[in-house]
Amino acid sequence: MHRERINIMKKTFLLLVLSSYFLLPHVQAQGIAGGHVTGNIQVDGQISHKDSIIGSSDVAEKLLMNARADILYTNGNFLGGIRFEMYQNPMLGFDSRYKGQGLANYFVSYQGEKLSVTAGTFYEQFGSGMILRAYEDRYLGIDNALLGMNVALRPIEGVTIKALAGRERFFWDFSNSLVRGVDGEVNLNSVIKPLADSKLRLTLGGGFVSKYEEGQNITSPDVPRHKLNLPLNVGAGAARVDMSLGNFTLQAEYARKGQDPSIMNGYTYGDGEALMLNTTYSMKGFSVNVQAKRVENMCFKAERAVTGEMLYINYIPAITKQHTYAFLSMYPYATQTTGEMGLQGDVMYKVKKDTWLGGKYGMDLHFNTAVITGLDITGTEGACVGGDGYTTNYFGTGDLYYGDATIEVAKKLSSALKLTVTGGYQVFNPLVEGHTGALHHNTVFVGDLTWKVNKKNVLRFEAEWLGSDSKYDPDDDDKRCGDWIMGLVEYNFASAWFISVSDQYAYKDGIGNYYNVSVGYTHGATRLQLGYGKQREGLLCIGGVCRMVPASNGLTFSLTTSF
Amino acid sequence: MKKILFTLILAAAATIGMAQNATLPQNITIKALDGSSVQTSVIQNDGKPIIISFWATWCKPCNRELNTIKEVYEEWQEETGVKLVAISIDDARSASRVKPWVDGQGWDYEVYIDQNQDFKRAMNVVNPPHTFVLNGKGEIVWQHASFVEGDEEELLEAVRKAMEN
Amino acid sequence: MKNIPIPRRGFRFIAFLFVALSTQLFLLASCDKIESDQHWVYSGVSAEWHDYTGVVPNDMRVLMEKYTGVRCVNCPKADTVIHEAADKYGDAFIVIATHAGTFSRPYGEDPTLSCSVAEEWHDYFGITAEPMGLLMRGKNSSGDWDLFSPIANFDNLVEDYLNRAPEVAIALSRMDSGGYSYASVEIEFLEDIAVPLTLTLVATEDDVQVTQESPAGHIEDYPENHVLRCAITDPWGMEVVADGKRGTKRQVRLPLEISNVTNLNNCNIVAFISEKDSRRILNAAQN
Repeated sequence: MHRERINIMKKTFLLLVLSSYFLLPHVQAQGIAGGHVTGNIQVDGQISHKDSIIGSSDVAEKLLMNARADILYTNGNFLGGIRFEMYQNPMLGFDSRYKGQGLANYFVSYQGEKLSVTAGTFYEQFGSGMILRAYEDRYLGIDNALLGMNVALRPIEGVTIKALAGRERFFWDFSNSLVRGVDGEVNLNSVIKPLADSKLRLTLGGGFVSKYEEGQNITSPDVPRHKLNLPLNVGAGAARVDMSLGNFTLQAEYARKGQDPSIMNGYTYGDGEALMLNTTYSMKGFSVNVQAKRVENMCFKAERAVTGEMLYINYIPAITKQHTYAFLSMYPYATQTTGEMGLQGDVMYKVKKDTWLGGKYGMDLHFNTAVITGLDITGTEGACVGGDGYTTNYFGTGDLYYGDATIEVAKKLSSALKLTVTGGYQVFNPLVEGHTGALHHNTVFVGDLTWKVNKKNVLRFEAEWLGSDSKYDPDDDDKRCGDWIMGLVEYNFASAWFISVSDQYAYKDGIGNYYNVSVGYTHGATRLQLGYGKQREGLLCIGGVCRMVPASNGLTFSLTTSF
Repeated sequence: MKKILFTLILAAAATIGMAQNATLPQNITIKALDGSSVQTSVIQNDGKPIIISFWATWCKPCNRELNTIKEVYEEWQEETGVKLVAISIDDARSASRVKPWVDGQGWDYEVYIDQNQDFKRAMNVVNPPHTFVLNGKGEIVWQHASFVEGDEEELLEAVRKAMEN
Repeated sequence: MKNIPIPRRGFRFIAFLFVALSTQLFLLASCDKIESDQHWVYSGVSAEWHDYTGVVPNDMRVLMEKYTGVRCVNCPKADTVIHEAADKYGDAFIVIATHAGTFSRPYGEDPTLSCSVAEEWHDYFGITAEPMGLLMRGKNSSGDWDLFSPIANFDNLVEDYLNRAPEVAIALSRMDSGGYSYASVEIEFLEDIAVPLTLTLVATEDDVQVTQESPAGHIEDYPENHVLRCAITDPWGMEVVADGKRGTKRQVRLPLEISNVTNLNNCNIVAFISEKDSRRILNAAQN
């Protein structure tokens, strides 16, 4: 299988475009020829040492660096953009195939009121992404942009029709397989005149995506001298409803994928399907949200033989809440696209001011719970290469994969003090990460206090505790086991500088001492951060921003700017 | 060859600075809380300043920012007529929780969901929270990344300045 | 429902048509569905190639495919012509009689002489009439398969190929070892060949007696010869692993997994080397 590479022509074209920027009369106040140039630049680096305890390996080249620059040129309804990426070498947590540098994104676009056309690399999502989502998440190293053409029509208000075709990005190449899709959405309140002012708001949508890939030889030792008769075109369709009536909303989406034998489903020929239901009751100060999902065999990839996170055409998100506190997200749940079903409930309540419970400023209560299990598998005869896949009982449940319940109470104690206390209980099945073992039962408590000393100085204190029934076992080598305690102090000065010191320590049945010092400076849209110490991978919210970070041991730095 | 390109790009970027006033992109699709798709051209405030804040339900500093501004929002509106438009970058995992979140927190802002982050990319937002101030003509006159208690004073100053334009 | 403004003209109408058409096209074209019993297709035996040091006789042989059927009126006449050519050219002329298509439906209680590889070749070469002949899977000047009617003498076509110098030499032998049958194929590159090549082995059977149509009516117990019975390798061949340089000699031993043959004493093995992409046959051998 051969792949395309960025060719000399594109490089020359780009050089011309950039040179012309310098040659044209420099009208800084108005931009270039009536248009504007904006962009953002980010440079991340780390000097990481080996540390067997946190699992960071020795880095021969000492310094690892990821950098990117996005440049956007806008002139009226015309847009053009490029993105230059450099991974020399990719930081820990990023796939080593990113090593190198080059133009990762280039496009030209016309965005009008009724018509939008983009040629080049683009991102797009149909509905909630169950059949198509081309997106990028720079911190997770995901970029499955499509190189091709994307057209959106808005002929009348409330109607959107999209059509696209392209090839998916795969590190520094593009996949040979073709992805094409059509999506339509109708907002009935805009289209049906009598409904325009109705309390019932209703939007319907539907889409279809198909992928074409060349055949290949897939064999199995159980069926000698035969190869699989592979479907070269794989299709997936979805229909969705988004409804709101007064304080109630209801969203439902159903997706179905045709025969798609791939390495992700063991080369079986069964259909895939996914159903998502979400209902909300909310009014100012109180809301209830319930979400149910069932996913079976919905790994829709651009190439059937590619494992891992690359080349996904669709996106099936996890059904759990994204926790921001370190110990609550220590055992994160990852979607099992081969099959899972889950339920999540969320309740938020704002206790009013000047009540017994609310005190002077009021109090916020937030309760969240989620349960995810595998599917109820009733038959495994089809679960072989060339078979029809597992048979399942639609409404039954399988093994417990994950469960959690958290309650968060936030209260302003005085004009300068704000306290948030969180308690949570978690059940985690190592199967989620591909390991066998007993379930982990964890209890977490978090205390988060912000003290606005005066106009220029703000202090934040965070204390966390994790009690687990798991013990560190050198055979499994799961470094999260055991009981942990964490402390963090963050000092912000003049809304520009910050320094934070934190430590996570396994005091019982575990190993690990993750200490970290970070210092940073923000001015406008530019931010520089330096850190030293050991860092676990996950979501880190310090110094006023939130970002996902990879595991590291040593010095890290990050510079971001937008202009 | 690639190094030359990279240097050129950086040089181009460096020469631009803040002197240029870009305007708000008009035709990017975002979702309103009732489920309908709208264009970013709906972000209007009758010639008065607008604050655009990119946030997410999982971003604590974003919530601190929007809750801090909530306490002074009425005063700000009386003084400057400013409108705050909060753009959520929650993706399919948490997008369905945006409306209950907004209601649960008791916010009065105009909220839209940028589920595939098209608006975020067009505005060059890297990490949330990222806040912009637009003047009456729809030009971006101020932007700031990150939020710490006290930053709302700077934001109000920027809005006052935007009124003068 | 009557309040939905169906656009009648202009931009909106075009947009509406666009939606209708594209969704139709998508639903029709973008999905392949494979029946439960067709998940697997025969891909034939395969084995490792290794270097060969012996002599490979460099005879040029011509392989003719005769697309035929029991209901094909002129096929007995074609058989006569082919028989004359076989007498004239001997071992240098190899025939595969491929029974496929509507003309191959058997009469009465006769078993069918068609098989999956026969049907696959028949469809691939676009055979619409029978009898139809194809020599060495060559193409004519327009780039189409060089099909001809073998009812009349075609010696000139055969000699056209026989007079060429072979690009590859091929030798085929059969042996039994440990109770199993094997075919041994040796090839020698007589020129530098840059394109990928494949080796295909099939089994044919002689003297299969069935009812055959002819200008004089049904002929009972008509002996059908060179009937294509099964493919031993993948119907389109197994990869030839070699460096393609002149003088290179390679050998492969394949287990003879023969199916569908009623009398093994009348069974021939035919091996041929062809270009993977163009399908053109370079040389053939029979044993």
